[in-house]
Amino acid sequence: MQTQETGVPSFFVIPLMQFFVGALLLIALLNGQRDLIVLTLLVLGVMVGARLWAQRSLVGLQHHSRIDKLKVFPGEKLTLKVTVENAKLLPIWLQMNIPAKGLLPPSSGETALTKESSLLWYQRIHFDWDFIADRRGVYQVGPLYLQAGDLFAFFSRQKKAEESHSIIVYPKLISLRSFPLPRLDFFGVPKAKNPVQDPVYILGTRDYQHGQPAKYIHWKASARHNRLQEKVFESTHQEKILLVVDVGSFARHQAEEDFERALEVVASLAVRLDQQGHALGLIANGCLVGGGPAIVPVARNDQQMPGILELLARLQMKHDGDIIDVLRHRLTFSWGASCIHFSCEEDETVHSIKSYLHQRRIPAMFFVCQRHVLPEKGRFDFRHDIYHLDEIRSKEEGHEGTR
Amino acid sequence: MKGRGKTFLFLASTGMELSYLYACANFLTLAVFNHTFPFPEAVASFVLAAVLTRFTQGRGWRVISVLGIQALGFIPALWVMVKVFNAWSDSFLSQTWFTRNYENPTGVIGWFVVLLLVLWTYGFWHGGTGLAKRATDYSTICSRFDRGLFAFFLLFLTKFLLRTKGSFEIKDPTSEFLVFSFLIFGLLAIGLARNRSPIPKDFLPGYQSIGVILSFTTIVLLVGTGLVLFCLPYLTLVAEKGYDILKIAAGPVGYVLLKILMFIFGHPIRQTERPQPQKEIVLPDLTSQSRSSEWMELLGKILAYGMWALLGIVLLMIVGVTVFLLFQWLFSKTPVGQERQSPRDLIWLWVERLRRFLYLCWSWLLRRFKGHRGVIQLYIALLTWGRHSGLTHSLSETPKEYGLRLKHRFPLLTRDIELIVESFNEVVYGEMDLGKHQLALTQTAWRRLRSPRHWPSRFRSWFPGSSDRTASLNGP
Repeated sequence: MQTQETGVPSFFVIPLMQFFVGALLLIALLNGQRDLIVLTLLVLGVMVGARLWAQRSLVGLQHHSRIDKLKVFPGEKLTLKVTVENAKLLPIWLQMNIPAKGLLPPSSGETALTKESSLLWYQRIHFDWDFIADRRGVYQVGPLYLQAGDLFAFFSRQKKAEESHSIIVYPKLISLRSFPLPRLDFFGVPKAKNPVQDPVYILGTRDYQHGQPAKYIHWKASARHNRLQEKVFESTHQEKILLVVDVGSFARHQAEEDFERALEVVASLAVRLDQQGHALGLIANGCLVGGGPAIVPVARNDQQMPGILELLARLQMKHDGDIIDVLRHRLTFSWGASCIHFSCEEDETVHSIKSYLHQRRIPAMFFVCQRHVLPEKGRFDFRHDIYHLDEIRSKEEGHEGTR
Repeated sequence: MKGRGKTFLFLASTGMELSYLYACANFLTLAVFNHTFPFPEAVASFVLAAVLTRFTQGRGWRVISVLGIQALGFIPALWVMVKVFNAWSDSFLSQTWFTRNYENPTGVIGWFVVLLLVLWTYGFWHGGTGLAKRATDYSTICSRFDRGLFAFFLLFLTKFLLRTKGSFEIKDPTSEFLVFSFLIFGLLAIGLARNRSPIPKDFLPGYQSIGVILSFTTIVLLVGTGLVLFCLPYLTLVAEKGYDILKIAAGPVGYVLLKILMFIFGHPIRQTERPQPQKEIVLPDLTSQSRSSEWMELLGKILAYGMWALLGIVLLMIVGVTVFLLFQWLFSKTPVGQERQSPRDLIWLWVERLRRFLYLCWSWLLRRFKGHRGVIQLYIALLTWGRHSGLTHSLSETPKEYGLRLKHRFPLLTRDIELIVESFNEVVYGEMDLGKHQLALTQTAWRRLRSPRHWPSRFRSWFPGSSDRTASLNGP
């Protein structure tokens, strides 16, 4: 049992009824009708007592809430714990109401977490709620509405506690097919033979070649071999990928489901590329829940992936300017970056961006949700640079894992 | 809701329903036949109906089987009701009372009595079955509570109208008590129906024992008061009957008893002495004050009821605490591996206990009469005083430390506590002789400490958290 109905519990709670009882008391007093005096006094006493009781019920009521996870993937379970203490001698009836719109299953028709119980003197209660976040987004759990009253729940008083939790639900991670990334090779040299070397990754040592900087000399190895040895480094082949989401195209078509599907692909792709060691960035022309620019600059560090996923979670299907303007004014492309663009359909905007990126010699791939001519199912069409989203979505979609 | 809670709710609902049903039934029978409605039989038929309905409910039995079981319960209940109401002394199993009444019918009134009894017995039976079938949610219980209150209002208004318009007064003291029991059981049922969440709760750290004791006392008080008020009319009736029986039984031995009492108290009563004719006392004319005297009478009655209620509550509290202690003792563990004692050892043990008890009583009496003469005695008395005020002396504490603790708890008594502790330190550790003046001052301080003026603050200090509050309020 969660809660019971909160209508008028008894007729005698209604002020008009109390007035009638008071009138009866007066008549009984005038006529010396003892039975009636006792009854009316008792009824009025109970009602007045309950009212006073309810007025004092919120005094000494302490509470605090805690949620076990604030950032989750869809399908993950969340536990909200609220502890309420009644630090007084007066026992109370208590009802807890916490709005959690969007987190509760729509079939239940509820928009708030509700539970009720009684609390005796100096007693403490722990309310627990388990719920599963099903859809991407940012959800607000709270504020807490405490309703306390007499033990018969005849009268009650409400208190709003400014205590709320913001839960971020990342997009669902799905399985993706492998596909080649757009890449600009340095003068046509394959990545393994890139002349730029990474001093962090040492492949081995060899005899020192004259002309090499002295800082590359491996002194310990030289001492061991009794001749100068130098370090051999691995070639730099870390790629920089910028993911672009054109929210405007989705907003124009009111394609909410396609928007969600696209974001799932973006998130899954970001996770995969991060695992492969690529530097990532994300830009979108959409509004974010809580405000702020929808940009994560291209970089590679521990905070990059959570940042991208959080931005995707906060992204709303409300466009905030043209995507080309956003790319022009809000972002500085670093050298060697590639671009993967997602939009609703192959329209003029896609072609504009394509030509813009081409001018800037930025290799790009384009994914659209709606395409007039679909490729053969299960095949990736390498001949074009505009692809349908279903071409990289694996048939066995599912949760890849959480970070 | 756990099983225990359900049982409590069922009992409270039973009390609530029975209170107003019986009040109505009793009023009607009193009004028509000037005869009270049989109380235990009414309760029994109600409870039996509820139990039988619960038993047959949800078993998938045929309707005829269920009706048969109900009839098997209802018919004997009706027979008992008729028999008890008419005060027939024949055995229940014998057929004589039936044949006698069949052969000598009592006419229309007799059949009217039977009809009314059938109706009311069915009313109680129906109430019992309804209770067993009905949902026990909050709104249902509240609506039943309202219904009961309306029934009481209707009953008392009828009484009022009969008295004022029809000049017909029905003496029915039962309903007045049943209002109290109805409210207690009704509110208990509402509270239980509303607060039956299975969420586990615990007491705050430091309030475990006081919480448990308070809960236990409240339950005992509420249930006990409700039961006492519910059964009070019947108990009064039983007491009156018992008194009559006692008078009859004690008639032959009354003279002997009187002699024994006279022998004990040594004041023989001269039976030949006739009481002197008393002078006629002329009372002032109170007719002009008759209005106010009615009010005074009413006020007096309310006060008397209040006093009785207070006395009842005190008695119930004593009973509650006694039952709690009894249960605590009964459930306490006996020592393991203790050797069996011979009866002689046990006798010696009890003699020794009695001796110690008498010695303690004697020393207590001596102290009361003579007072504490020495400073050491005064300090020992201070330790006892502190213990009774909720601050037990720790063995590791010096007198000064203990004194500091006491002063912290009772800032108003700082000077007196300090004086006793300092005097003790001077006598015991300083090996000094205190002058008469100093001793008198210490004794005065002790008298001030014992003053009943400080009982409220001492009582308050028993509750956790009071020390901090007191300290913060009264300063260091």
